[in-house]
Amino acid sequence: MAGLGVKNKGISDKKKMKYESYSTIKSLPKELLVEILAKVASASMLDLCRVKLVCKDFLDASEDDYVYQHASMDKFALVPLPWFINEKESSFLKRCKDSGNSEITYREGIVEYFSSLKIDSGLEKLKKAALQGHVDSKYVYSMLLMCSQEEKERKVGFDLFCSMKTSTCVIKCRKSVKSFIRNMWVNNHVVRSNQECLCHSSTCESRERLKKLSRMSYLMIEYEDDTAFASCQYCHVDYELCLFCKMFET
Amino acid sequence: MAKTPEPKRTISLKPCDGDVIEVSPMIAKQMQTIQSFIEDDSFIATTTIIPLPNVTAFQLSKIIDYLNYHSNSKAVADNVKESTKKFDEEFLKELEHDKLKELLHAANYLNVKEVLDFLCQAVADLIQDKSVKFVRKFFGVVNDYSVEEEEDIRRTHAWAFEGVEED
Repeated sequence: MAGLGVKNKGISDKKKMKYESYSTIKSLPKELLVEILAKVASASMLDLCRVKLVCKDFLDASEDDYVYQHASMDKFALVPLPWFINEKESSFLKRCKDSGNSEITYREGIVEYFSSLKIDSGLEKLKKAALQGHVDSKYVYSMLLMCSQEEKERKVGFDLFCSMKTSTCVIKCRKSVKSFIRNMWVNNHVVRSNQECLCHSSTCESRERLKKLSRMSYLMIEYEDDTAFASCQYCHVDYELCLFCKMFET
Repeated sequence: MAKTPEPKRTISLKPCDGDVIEVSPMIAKQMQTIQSFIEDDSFIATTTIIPLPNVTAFQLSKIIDYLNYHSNSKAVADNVKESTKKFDEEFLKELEHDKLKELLHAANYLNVKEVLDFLCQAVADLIQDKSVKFVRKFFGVVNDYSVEEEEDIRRTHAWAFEGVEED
């Protein structure tokens, strides 16, 4: 086991080390440690539990609401099945939920919006998680907004989508959303209410390419990188919307 | 580019171990600590040199490099994002663990949100999938749990450690 070796050391030695450790870790303010641990937690639940074992300061920082808010749910099923979760897990989950964990909010939002038809509440949850910086929520929420009839909402969705950092991030989101949707009983199929392309430029090359592609929507290719549409932000969004709506075709 | 250039006005920063470094107000503004200096009434940009006793020249120039690069390449096309990624990777590659931690302190002292966020992520990535021992060594902390306390935490989170081999 990792830490137990320390106890064999002489007490004076241990004290000395402890004193030194204060100088390094105490000068790292708690907010910063919390920030780091939240990022650790957002990638892996196991790593979060592991850092709790490091020392008391780390345990203290890891108990911050902010960390629970960002904790990854990678160990848990997408749609929770209560009878598979033991008591300690469920208290952990409850703690996450009480802190407003964005992954939990996102998952509930998806289920409500697409499956149990609580559309308003589901959309509200997706929005909340998106505002907390949850990337998959940003993706879904921006897509749903862009499918709206209201031009204002479409604009908000467009801006949100463009704020998502890298194209690889978009591809990752699309993949994880897709596998989530596939695992679910979908009752609310997304349809673009406005079929018009976002790109209006008649000289845009990618627009022509996209038109050809979407005419054969069953063949719609998912490029591994999106450089095909890099030249035009609007076409990129059009393309992404096509792929998003395609997830709901049966 | 056609805009008439503003009269040249830079902010002078003095790191603890080197010569004064001039930065543009745009960059200085992103350092909250410097910004509050500038907002002070007695501050005169042309003559005042801001001393930074907690920041070395190396750290300051790293932070300025990062801000410069990122403010020049904000938004726009995907291929720029690719090179940004490359820049970030190179940026970290040059930093040993100790330097990284010191830079984190410096960024915290200057209170530069963008750099702090980036460095916190870098540290988080570094301790991902690592043993408890490694994390202790990395942060220079020592196990201050009693055997019972440590066992207790392990037990409470046993579900998370299931099927994981501890080293």
